[in-house]
Amino acid sequence: MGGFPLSGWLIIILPPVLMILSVVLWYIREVKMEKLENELVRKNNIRGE
Amino acid sequence: MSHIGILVIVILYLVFLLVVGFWYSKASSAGSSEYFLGGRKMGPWVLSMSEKASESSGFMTVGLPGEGYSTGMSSVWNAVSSVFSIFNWFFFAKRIRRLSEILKSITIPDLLSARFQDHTHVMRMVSIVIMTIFQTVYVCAQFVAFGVLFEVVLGVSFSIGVIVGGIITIIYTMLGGFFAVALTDFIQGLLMAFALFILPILAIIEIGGFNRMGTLLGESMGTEFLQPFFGESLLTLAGLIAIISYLFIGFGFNGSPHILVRYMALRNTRDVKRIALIGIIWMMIAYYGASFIGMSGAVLFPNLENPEHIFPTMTVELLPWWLAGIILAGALSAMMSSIDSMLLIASSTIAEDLWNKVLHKGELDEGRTILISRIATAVIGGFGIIIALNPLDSVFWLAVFAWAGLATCFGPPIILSLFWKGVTKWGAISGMIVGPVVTVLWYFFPPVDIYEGGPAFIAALVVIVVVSLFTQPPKGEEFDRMWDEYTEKSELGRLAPLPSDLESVKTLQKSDVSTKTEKEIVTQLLNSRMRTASPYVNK
Repeated sequence: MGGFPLSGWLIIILPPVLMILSVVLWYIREVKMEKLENELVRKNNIRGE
Repeated sequence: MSHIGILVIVILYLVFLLVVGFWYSKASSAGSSEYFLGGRKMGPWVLSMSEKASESSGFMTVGLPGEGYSTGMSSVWNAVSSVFSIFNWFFFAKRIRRLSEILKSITIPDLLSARFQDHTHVMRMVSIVIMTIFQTVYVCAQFVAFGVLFEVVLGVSFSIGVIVGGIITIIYTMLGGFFAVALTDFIQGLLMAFALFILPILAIIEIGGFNRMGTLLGESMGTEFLQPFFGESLLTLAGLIAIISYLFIGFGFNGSPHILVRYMALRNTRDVKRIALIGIIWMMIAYYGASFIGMSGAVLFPNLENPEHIFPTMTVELLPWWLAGIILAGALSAMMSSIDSMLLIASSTIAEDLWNKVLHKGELDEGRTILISRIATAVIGGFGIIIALNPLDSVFWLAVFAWAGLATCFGPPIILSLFWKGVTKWGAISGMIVGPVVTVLWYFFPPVDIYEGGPAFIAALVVIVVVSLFTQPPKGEEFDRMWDEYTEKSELGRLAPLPSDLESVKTLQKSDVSTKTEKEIVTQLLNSRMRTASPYVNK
């Protein structure tokens, strides 16, 4: 573990990994939902025409 | 030569900021929405950097490296408090943007007053008083940090540092409004990330590697320095309280008006996801970078009198003068981006909420409102400079008050009002008063040695809920219509898109072939070909 204790390594690695991962997963979910929303808007527009 | 070189780079940077202010003064004079929210035209990169730069302040370049220097790995808990920023993006940002569009609000007090139908202006007055007091104090503390940095690195006198830095920040905020503030914040955010990324790397290379830094720190400071338990080798009750205290600082992200107003300035709610992604990467680089600057500094410069001098000392000692100049500009950026945002928020509150809405019943023309805001910027900034020139010992700690006072005043009522229709005007007002009062009382008479912002935030939330249960909630056809529009769901079970969202979908569909029917594609191609050919046909 080099010069750092295990708890030191954990606080260096875990929070950034967990926080960035949670935002990335949320981003992907948002993009998917927006695609569905776009589809919905398009269908509503066609129905409106 | 090195001092003169650094000074020249810093002066060039300050001149550049002034040019940005002049450049955007015309655009910002177009109307109140343009001046206070940048006309809601800012892209996610600009707004994200602006959010991060303005919330960071001198804390990132002076405070946190100093904490890393003196407490070691425990300082990294500050980075963990970023989780409260994630709550903002996941749960609050879209709803704030949504509510502000529906209620046509351009400031935070404006949003609260419209949401709670406060025709008596009590809420506005409470907002104005608390915002003006705490933000003036915060601005003042940044001016002091400004003067210290000038003094340590450039050898310029403290007073000159405060006056020059203060006046330049006031001028570009006065002229350019939100456009100038957000764009300079964007540059400042990038510069800060660069500084906080490059400096620890260079320092660790100088030491001989990351593991060697750990070994040397373990030998000189003890292994407890490398563990995140505040001087202990295991988690103790005192350590747990210290960790909770650090995490409570994160509440500030959820309540500071200069952060929340950035969500109101979004082009549409879809930009939130990009802001979140850019923001979290920036935060991790900046927070960990700042802590590692402190820890590596404890190896390279072990005998500093003041731990908070580690950032400027390392910059001057480790880097060539031209890079030191750029990085110092980044450090000044951290402070200036907070000052400008605070000044703009405080002055917009005075101009829009007090002068226009309360004194002139919303009938003041926009040109006059902007003029009042510019005067208020100059007055508050000038007042901040005067106090900063004769700083009290406690000014730095009053800045921590300001962060907690603002967050506990605005965070709880805004968060609750986004999700609960039954929050009442008196409930919100009680919370807005209780939060800052508990902040101050806890600071002077702490029952437990924990950061005052946390208990004050929780107290304000509880008071709002209790008072709301016993008082009359907003009612009437107009309010019900607003709430129905705000909570309307689409077929997907999500909040229905607003006009600004639909506009972005239309723009997207115009440029995306996959979302079009064949007929639409052919028609568009024919139209575009005709347009392209028309100049030649006319000739």
